[in-house]
Amino acid sequence: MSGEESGRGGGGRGGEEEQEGEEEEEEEEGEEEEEQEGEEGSRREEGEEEEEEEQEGEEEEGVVVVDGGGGGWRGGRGGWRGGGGGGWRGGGGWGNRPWRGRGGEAGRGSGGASGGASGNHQRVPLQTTLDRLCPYKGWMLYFTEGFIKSSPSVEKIKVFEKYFTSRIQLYDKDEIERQGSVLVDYADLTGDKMVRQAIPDLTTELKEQPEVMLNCLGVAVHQVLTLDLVKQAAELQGEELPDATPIINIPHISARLFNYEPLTPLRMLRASVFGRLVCVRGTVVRVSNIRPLCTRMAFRCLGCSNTLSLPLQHGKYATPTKCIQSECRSRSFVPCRSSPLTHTVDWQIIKVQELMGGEQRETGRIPRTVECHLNSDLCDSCVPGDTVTVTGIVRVTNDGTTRGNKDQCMFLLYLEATSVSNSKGQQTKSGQRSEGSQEDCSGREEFSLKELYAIQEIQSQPGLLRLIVQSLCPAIYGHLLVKAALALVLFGGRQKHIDKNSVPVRGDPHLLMVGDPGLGKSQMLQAVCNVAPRGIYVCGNSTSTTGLTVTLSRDAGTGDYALEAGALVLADQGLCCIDEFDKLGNQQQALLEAMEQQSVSLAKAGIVSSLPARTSVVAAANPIGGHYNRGKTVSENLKMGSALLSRFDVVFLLLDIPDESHDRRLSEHVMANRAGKGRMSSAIVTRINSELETSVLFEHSDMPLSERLQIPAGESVDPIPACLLRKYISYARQYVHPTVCPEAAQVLQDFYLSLRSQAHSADATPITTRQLESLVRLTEARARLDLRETATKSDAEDVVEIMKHSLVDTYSDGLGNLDFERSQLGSGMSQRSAGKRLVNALHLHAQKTNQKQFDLQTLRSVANRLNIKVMDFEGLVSSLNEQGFLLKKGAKLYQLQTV
Amino acid sequence: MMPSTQDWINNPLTVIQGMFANSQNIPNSGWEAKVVDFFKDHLKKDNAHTWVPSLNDVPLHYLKPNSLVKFRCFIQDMYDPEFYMGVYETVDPSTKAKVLQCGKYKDVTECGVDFNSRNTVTAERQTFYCVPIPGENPWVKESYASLSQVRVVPSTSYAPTRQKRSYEEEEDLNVLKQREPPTGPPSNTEQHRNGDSKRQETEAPSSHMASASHLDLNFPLPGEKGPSCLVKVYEDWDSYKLNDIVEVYGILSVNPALSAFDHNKDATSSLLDPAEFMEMAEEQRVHSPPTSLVPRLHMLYAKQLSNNNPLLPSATLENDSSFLSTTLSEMASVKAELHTYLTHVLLGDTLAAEYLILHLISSVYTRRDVLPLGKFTLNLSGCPIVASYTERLYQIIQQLVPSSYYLGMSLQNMNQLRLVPKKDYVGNRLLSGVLQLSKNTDLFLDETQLEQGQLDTAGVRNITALGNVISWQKVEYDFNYHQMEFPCNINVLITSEGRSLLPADCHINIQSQVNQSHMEEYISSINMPVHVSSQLNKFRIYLSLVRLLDYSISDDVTKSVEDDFVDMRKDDPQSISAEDLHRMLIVARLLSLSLGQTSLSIDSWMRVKQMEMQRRSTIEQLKCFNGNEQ
Repeated sequence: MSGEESGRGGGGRGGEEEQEGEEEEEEEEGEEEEEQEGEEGSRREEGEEEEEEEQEGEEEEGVVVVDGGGGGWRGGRGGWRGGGGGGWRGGGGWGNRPWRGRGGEAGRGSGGASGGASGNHQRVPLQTTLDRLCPYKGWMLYFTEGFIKSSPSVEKIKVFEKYFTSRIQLYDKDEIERQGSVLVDYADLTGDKMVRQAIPDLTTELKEQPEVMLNCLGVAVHQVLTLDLVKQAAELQGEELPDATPIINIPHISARLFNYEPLTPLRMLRASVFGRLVCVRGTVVRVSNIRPLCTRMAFRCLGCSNTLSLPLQHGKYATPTKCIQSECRSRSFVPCRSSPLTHTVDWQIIKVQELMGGEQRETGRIPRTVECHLNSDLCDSCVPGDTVTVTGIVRVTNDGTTRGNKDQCMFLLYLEATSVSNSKGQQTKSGQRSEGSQEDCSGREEFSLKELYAIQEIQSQPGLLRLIVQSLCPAIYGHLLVKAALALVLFGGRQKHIDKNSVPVRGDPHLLMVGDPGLGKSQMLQAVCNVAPRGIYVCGNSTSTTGLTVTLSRDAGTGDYALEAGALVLADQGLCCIDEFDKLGNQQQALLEAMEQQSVSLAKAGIVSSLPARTSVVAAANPIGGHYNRGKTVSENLKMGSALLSRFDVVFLLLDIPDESHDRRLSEHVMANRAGKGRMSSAIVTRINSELETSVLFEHSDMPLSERLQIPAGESVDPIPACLLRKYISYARQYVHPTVCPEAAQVLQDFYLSLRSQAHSADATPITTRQLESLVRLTEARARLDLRETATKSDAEDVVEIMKHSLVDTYSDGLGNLDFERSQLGSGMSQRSAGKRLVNALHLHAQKTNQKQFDLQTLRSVANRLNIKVMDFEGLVSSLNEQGFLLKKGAKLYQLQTV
Repeated sequence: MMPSTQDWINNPLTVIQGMFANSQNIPNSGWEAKVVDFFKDHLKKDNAHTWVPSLNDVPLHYLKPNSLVKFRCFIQDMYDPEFYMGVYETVDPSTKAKVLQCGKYKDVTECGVDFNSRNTVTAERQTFYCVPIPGENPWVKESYASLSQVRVVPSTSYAPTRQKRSYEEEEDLNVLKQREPPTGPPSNTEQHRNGDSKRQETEAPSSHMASASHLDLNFPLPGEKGPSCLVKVYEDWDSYKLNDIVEVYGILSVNPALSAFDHNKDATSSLLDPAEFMEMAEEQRVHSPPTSLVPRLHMLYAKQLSNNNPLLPSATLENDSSFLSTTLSEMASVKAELHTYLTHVLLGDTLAAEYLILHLISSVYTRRDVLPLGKFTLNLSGCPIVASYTERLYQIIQQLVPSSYYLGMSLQNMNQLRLVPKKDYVGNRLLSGVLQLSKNTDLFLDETQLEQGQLDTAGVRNITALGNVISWQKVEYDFNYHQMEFPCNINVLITSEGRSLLPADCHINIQSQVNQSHMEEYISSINMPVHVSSQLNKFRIYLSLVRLLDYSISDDVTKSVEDDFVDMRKDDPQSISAEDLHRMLIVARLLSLSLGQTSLSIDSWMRVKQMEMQRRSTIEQLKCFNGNEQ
């Protein structure tokens, strides 16, 4: 008998003789029981009967398990597979006991299967009546009350059955079988015409009585799968066994409703939503160990040793009120944990913390956390740090403190999860979509309707670039083109993949501001960081290399290595603002890889990995001498290698040049900020009016960008609030992927070629393809700012102007002539010729005297002999030092390096 | 029938129960609002609030359970909301009579709750973890205590002799605490600790000694003491923010049943009760500390405090015009006195004394974009390192401002102290840090304590955090998976030998008028003006009051300041930048306010220019002296 075989297979050591003996016993007892039932049966409800019968049957099973070394009360999923064969026909050998297939306990240990089966053997007549009544094989898995044909649930189940039947091809049946759950898309379910017609108030019912509805869904799926399998089995078996009805034993399948709407903010989880189905989003902050949760517990009556099982709802422990044996009625019970009737599932608690973004940032609250209880297959679906969307039923738990003291009535809310979607999991799915999806695959932000309206409102504003520029750090006056470039950096270009295996071309522009102290560079960085959807601000003088890239730390307790992300990695797909860039020292090297390859590699302690760092670097630096020396090049003004410098798309000089009208407006601006508690006038009405007039001007953009960005006199701009701007930017970054149109490409090409031709000379090549790429990136960003899918000619022209501005600043000498020999790269030096001559002379000198070290005095005298006349001789020497020609050995002592 | 004063203070629950019972037959009676109004009104009447005992100055075991108490506190943490039975029904076991009960303002329900009753109403309340205001100076505590008219009546459960002793001891401790600086030499702290444990013993003589020793009460500042409290808030909890200072009037609950108990549960329940798992045990322990150490307070009414200076009238300034006018007229003279005194303290440097006053009255008044306006971090360089001058200076400041904290920037402190609060997900609480301070707390950074050595990662983070506080007046609390910015309003004063390594709004070098050889002698002769405490009180009122004044700049003055700026730029563009203009405007603001003037005058502006010039020259001197600075 295959039932016995399966019993041995699963339970292990139960001997054949023993089992046979038991069978005999069971038969005897079974007869007794039947007699009792004959008397009692009519008085009881059907469900109860069924339950009880199984309990009685299982009493012996318990014995078997104990004898056989405890096949485990943790019945475990998978036990239903019977003898371990594939498919759902676990109990195939039970042949003529069809009722068994309904198997009240899906996870019943197979070790006890044979005993139980034989024990129940004699109650076939009764069971079959029940079976005939209830067409649903899995009814008892889902409902505690018996099947009543007139119940409204049945109607719903029928509808859901139809729904699932129509979609059965979409489901992976093996996967469902393995997981014990099926994913149901809420949007699809409620959008289905048939379902909507049959159950018009499905949404409210799902919201208000989620448990019943989810059980209905579960029963329906169960039924559909069972029928499907019956069909398959029939086909397979064909005529071989014409009289045997195949036994289909499908476990409890839970319906996991995902995509549920609306999303409830965590802080709105109040007593009013108790018992409702809600959907919340947050960061997982704690995950407990996986534990068994008892869903059904067996109890042995102390009076008559009868065993009965009781479903434990919501994990609450309860004892039976009285023994159901008519003559016993005892009230004392002992829980039997090793009984196969005791049924457990995996269970885990996670803690989800509210996401604080946007306006929530400013409220000064501690973000709220909520506990979520995960069951069976949901366990281990997330780790701390994941952002998850949990759909679940709101329940309350008595606070643990109440145990032993029933007087304190305090409850805490928790969610009993019906589905958990991990945004990390979605990432891999959407990552398979090819082009353009890389950028938006993670950190997808959801936008509420209100926010979408705001975004639309912002987009409809005329002169949007100007508005955004003016909203960016309004406390700082002027520097409009710099702000415009910052705005473009915020929006960013598109990352391009030429083909699968090549290194992607980065889409994130980098920007460097060099300038005199006291112009508000730090403040601009802070402001940009503040409106960036993801912004990290670090200060160069208080960070280390690993603080920028990755730290490998060893956990003191476990000795495991752990990676700790630095600023660049944290700012992935965002903005990394580095203040005091010049104070980074040798850590600048760490940036080389991150800035071009957009990744950070690590090879330490046996860990070799590469982490994404798709970030825009916005840096601010102070010149060496405190004030920028226009006579020197950027490289000379900063202690910075040309390799790093060339990675910046745009370099701006912020110079403090006295200019009366500028100073006046600046002071006005500062005073307006400072004067008392008065606010800046917010004249929305005037703005709209005036912009209607001026907007004509924007059409034919004859005016240079710098002028277009300025607010005409007498007009005031109402800046976009930071939280809205942040939303707008993240929307643009997520959904807009512009391409450059041919005319725009022509403009960029012309500009690039003109730069190339101008710069074409023997030893200065400052213009490389990097600059062309920068132009494209910024042009895309310019289009993105207006939420346009194509970058037009005017976009390109704007970018060219910004670029020109940055180039003029960096390449012009004191007189304002563009001099490309004064490259921003190290190879160019303003005093190049002088320097070269000096170095050559020093080489000669060194050969003659065999002396490689020079003090400043000797250097001076050599220079004098060569008739090198420079204003700042020490500056020349120090620049040679930086270029690597001279090595500073001590105070006023230099050593010539061999070249 | 109106309950008498004693009734509503001693038995507030009776009042509430009465109002609840009266309202039962009236639908929408709004009895809850009436309860709040009742207590609000009664507290306002003829100084009734002084009759309410305060948790701050009366030891917990002197207070009657379920009586009305007040607590002046700082919201350190906010827990998740909890749900309780607002209305429930009890069944008398003998008569089977059902009675409706009110569960509000109580932790524990009556016996015999009918859990299945249809009349049960579940309601929600929020729990705040509150601690005494961090860094509150002893004079503030004493002064508040002396205002109270409560005669402490020992509750019946303790032997009187024992109480007497503990009371004396406490007074001793207060004296002791006054005399020692908070982060003094180790011998002092040892003494401190001894005192602490003694005090705890007397405070919590019950069974909780063992748990008390390892229970971290989570005070922001090390070495703090006093009761912390779980405040249950019933109305409007969204209006409270973290780090607010509030005076809470509420019903004290010390039922020992509320403490997390020892887990001697049987095996069955551990299998089944989700709340009893090990992971959650720690959280439970943290959230339900013993009531003898952390009492529960059910808030009836709370007042948000704009300052914790007991000498200011509690009513708002507008309502108290007479007080304002008298003090305003005196302001200039008080300032002169204070200036003279601080000049004496700052080794005879009048300019530094002027700037120190400006620093002490500064406060962030608004934020423009990311920029906080009104902060004025002062770096006093050139402090002598003999005779623990900086500590002495701190002690003097401690006497002047309501709350302050001394942070010696020693390498050890920087590497080991937790400055930034951090969320502890195991206990589900916010572990406090030194930078979790209430507004207008004076943070005294002593950089003269800095010695040679290496800052580790934590140290670098701490320095960054300090820099953030100074530059942006914000602290980024560590939530493990992300950081959350909390704006703050902390006055930072840095004392150093040379220029500080931290950024500062204003740097001034002390020009000592004292001969080096007499320095030690001079410093030890600097005294607190304790003997003239009325004068000291004047200073205290002055410093707090100036902060509350309004300030504006008229159009004329604006114009001339702008002209001035443009002219200065013309003459020497290197000497003045936009940043300098910002600083001069803040100095002008503070200088005008310090004289009680609510708008900027041309005279003040001229004075500011002159002061700034003088100050620059002191720094130039320092640069020359140090040689290769920058």
